[in-house]
Amino acid sequence: MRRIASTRWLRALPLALLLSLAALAAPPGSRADVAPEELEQPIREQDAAASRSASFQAVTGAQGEDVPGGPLLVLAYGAVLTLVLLYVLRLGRLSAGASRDLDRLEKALEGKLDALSPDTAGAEGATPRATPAKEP
Amino acid sequence: MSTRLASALLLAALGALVLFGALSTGRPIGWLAAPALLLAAAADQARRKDAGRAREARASWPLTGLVALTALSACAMLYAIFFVAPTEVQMGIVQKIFYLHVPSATAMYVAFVASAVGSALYLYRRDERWDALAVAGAEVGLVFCLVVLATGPLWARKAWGTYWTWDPRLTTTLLAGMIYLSFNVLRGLGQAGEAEKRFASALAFIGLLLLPVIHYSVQRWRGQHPTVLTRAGGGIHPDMVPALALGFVTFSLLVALLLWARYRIERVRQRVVELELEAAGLGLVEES
Repeated sequence: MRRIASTRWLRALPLALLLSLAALAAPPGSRADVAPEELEQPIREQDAAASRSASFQAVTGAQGEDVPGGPLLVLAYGAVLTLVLLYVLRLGRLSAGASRDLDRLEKALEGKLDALSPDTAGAEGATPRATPAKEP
Repeated sequence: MSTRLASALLLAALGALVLFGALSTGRPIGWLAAPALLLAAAADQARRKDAGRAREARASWPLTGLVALTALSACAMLYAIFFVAPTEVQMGIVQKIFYLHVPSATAMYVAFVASAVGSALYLYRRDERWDALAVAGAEVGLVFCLVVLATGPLWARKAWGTYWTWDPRLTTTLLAGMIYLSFNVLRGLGQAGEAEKRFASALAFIGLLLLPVIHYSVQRWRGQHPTVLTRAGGGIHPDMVPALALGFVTFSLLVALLLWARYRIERVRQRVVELELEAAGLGLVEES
């Protein structure tokens, strides 16, 4: 019984996959997933037009939304400049830290290797000095 | 590559600002900013040569040239945006965000693809150079993703009346940003071992699969996001084309510059790790 159920699942899987692909491949606007607000919009517009032709009413609350564009534009360009500059500063710090560590390690290794005797340098555990990596 | 890159880039940004300010006030002295950048770069090269670092100076010439080119392109882009491109009839001045938003999204794609390619090749060849490219791409791509996610809501406030909506493109872009943020967090937590590198590489590859979804989400799932540049859209006014084209050029140069710089830093960091292991093998320092 369980085996039959599992084979049903296996048959259903390709079908589900096919349906998903069909839904994805369908041309835009062909599916009936239009939001209810969009369907109601013409009705609301008709109501508003009928209301305007029949009476004049005072607004309640704010007169309407007026979004100033200037501050938004300045904020957007400022955000881009700030993000890029902050990242450049981070790169500078990373670079300085890496260069400092590299210099310190190279000096330490050179000093210690010079101090080591040939016997010690060739002992087990001592790896040969790696050559600097070649940049592509 | 050193902290001079940071100072050069800061100088370039300052020059772009000076030039833009001078142009907007109509004073020709602003044009001196661009040659000043090149002079500063040349002075830097000369100083390095004096210090006996001719090899480093020669190696950094392409980088300095790229910085200067990016700065000049940024100046031209700002001029085209604010003095050539007309104001849009419905969106007004806010439409000018478009000239930064779209090219930064393209730069984000480029960097994330670089990260995914580097990750895939690292998984295949286990070469540290590809890992450095993966790290650079993920980090630079995240910066441009932040730019996209910062400028988009400011546009949306005017266009849609709200800063954020769970539109398919916005949501998938946020998801891609979170995937590459995970990559960076994973690689930034202490010293990444082989397991962390492989796991992060897999994450970058998953992020790559998401990129086409971001691109085609607007057409497939009927979001609110504008589709001006697609075949379904109505296109842009011919006078707006130079600003957009220069935006693409500037952000392409910027992403190349940042990827290059970050890659080189990562290579130095890999060399540091290599030397630390060498020193630990010699018993010179304690192995971390």
